[in-house]
Amino acid sequence: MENIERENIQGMLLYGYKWLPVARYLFLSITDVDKARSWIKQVDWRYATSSPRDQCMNIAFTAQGLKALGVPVDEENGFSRAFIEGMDTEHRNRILGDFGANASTDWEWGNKQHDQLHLVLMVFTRDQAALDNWDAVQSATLAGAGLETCSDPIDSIRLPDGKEHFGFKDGISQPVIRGLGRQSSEDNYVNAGEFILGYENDYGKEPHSPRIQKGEMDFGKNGSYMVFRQLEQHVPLFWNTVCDHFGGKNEGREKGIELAAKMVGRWLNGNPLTEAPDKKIKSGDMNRFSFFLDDPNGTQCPLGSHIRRSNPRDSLSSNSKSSSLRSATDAANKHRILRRGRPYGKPVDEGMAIDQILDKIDGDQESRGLNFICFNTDIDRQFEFVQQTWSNNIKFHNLYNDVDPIMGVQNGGRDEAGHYQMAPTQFEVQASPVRKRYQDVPPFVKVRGGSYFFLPGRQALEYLSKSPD
Amino acid sequence: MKLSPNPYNLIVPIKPGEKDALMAKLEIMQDDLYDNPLLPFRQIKSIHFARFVILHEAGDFPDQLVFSTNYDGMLDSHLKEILNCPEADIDQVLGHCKGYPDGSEGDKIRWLKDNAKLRAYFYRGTWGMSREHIISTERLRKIAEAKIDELTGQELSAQELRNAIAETVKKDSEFRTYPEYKVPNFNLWEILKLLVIAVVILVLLPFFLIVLLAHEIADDKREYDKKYSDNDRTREFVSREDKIVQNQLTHLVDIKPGWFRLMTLKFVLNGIAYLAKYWFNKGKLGSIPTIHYARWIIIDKGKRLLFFSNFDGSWESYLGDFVDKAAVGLTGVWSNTVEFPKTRGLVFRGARDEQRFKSWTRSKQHITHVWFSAYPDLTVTNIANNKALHEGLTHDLSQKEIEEWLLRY
Repeated sequence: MENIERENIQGMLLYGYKWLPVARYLFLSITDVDKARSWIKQVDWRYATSSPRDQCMNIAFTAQGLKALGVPVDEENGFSRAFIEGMDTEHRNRILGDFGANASTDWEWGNKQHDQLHLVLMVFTRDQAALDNWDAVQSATLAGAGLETCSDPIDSIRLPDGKEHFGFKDGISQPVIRGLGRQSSEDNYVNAGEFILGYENDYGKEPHSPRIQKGEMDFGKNGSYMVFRQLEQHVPLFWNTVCDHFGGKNEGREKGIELAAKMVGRWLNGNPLTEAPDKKIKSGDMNRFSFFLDDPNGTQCPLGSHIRRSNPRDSLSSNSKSSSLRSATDAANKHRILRRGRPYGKPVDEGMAIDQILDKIDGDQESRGLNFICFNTDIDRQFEFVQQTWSNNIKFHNLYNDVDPIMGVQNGGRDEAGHYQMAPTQFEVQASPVRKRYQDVPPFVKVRGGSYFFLPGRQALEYLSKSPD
Repeated sequence: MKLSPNPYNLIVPIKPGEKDALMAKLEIMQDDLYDNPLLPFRQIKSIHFARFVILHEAGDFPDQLVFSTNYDGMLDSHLKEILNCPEADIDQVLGHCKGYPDGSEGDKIRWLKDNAKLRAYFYRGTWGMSREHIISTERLRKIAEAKIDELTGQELSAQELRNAIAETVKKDSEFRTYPEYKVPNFNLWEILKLLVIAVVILVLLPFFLIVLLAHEIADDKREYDKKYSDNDRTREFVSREDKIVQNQLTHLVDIKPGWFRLMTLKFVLNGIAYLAKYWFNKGKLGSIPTIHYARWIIIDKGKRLLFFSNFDGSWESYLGDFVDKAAVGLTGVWSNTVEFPKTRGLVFRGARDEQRFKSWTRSKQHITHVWFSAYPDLTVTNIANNKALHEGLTHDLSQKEIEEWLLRY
């Protein structure tokens, strides 16, 4: 087993700082390279060996940001094509679903016009007062550090019980890195090299990783590629849509909640539909279940539901032999991502009780959603694959014309101006004797911004704090 | 039983100085696949998939045009349909190729056959369904789905549902019964043949392995070391990808020099084509259910290996399946070609070196100048499911079978 150098890996990658519930993401541009370098040098960056009690900072760079600091970000030096080119390209818009309402031209940050985005500074604090305190001290420091805000910072919060804004418990299924000592079921372990550069990945190879200075300097070691997408969630639209199929949110409340659960693949409390279809909370591991053995036809957890698409586990197995289940799980595990996102915006109901949410959505105009952040070492094979081959793929799991009902986007072809449009999507709920289809499912999630970043390890961060000569 | 559909591959040198003119024509075709004035694919009913590829001059090899199809029926009638289509003017395209006859239809067909590589190592994901059969069963499924939507909430039994669906679908003018098609099966003769081959292999194996190892060790020094493929080229490929449900790959690579590698390659390809015919003939290559049709062709007098594939989903997912589910077979083939990732024992390592294998594939990928799919919204599993749905209406089913059949909608 390889020794994982926690002391050289930025803390949020391994821990996510769950005990620091308030976060701020600052999008910065480097205006003075020398000052920025000395700022990087003097900040007390937190690595995964300490558990800061009050606050801490992590940092990640865009390709432009690294270039500004003199790093040769190109393929010869081993940077990934996705990172070099960025999230906003004609082809990536097509596969990620960034057109129509998600069009990158309308993004508030991160699109290709926004090329002054050099880095994101991520601040995690114990509470709001600690963040205000940090702000009072640090904003002056940043101005003197050759850094300039290039778009509004985004704050994040934690909702009660680890819920997201629609009201479902989130973040339940996470891969567990082999060798870090955390316990999990055997099929949920993934090698460190899937998320941290410089270690063996699940193919038993070190992932391609940037090396600079003619290969002398291992720039990638203990770093990772970070995907950041700000996803606005239309909570009133979501609940009104599902309840309206059954006569509105009063009369059709219970059935509406059931349809919403079918879309997600879990009940509100996080229980998977394969395990507890009768809503009774069953104690035990919410992650330990088999799609193929428990529900091969999707009559409990629909084949096109959000959790089945986000991590199909053994669902795509060709038969029930254990070797086939194993190889389906192994193949699905080649596309895991380490999620470190947090909600933003005021929840509909502070307590996140579903009845309260449904009672309060009328006339609600609040902006809220998820700051989706994930880590991976191969953006093509991990994040983009999940988005394209699972979420947005109308043929996922032998279906004909479904996308992920929560966040999927279907391509409706080009309009007269040549821009791709979203097509109306459908959601099929498998059932006996025959399926039921819901047509014209509107998009409940809208992309407000996004970018690919590189989260440097200690060695790279130290390199960035010095002048290259 | 006749195999169907079948592959056709024309490979022919382009007249000197006429490549640019030919490229311009291919662009016209690609810009309007269905209705272009040169070969409007809408009119050509025998084609499942088709592509035109220009292989650029390299070393001893001249500029060449490749025209490839997966077609229904007899080759002669397929070629005649293309030549005689009143809306098409294929002479405008083929006229840029060396020796294309001016004369009669018979001359042209002879030329199209004389310049064809009919020896392709071929895989079919769908067997025995004509293009018309595939498209028609999809149309009938949509009619049935609309009927099911209409009946939603009526609490009908499985039997009642089937009756209602059958009544609606059978009213359609396209509804018909298709003859049973049986895929090739092992028979005593095949098994005997295999036994003889197995004995020969066992006897030759030690000698083969020694020579192979010597080659592999020598090859290690020539190993492809570039970690990433050329981003500019990759950008050009991806700009053409992910526009419909399917994607395609054209891949061209030099075979390692010497008779040993060529012989080994031919042996492996024969083995794969044999398995593709007798074993992997149920819609999956190994456990990969996404390949419509794929073929390898050895061209340029044994110097280069050409690969065409039509598959469902993304390039990343297709290549991932290669690595995760078919690495042994693919390494067995491509380890005989240049710059392939380090291999041992013909089939080990190689494609398991995932990122390097993918980079290698991109680096040998070739632009497909014209690519046509007759059913761009259907996957291999959709087609098989539509067939089963249709058979559920024409066959007698037990109560349990009806219940299982309904779950297919």
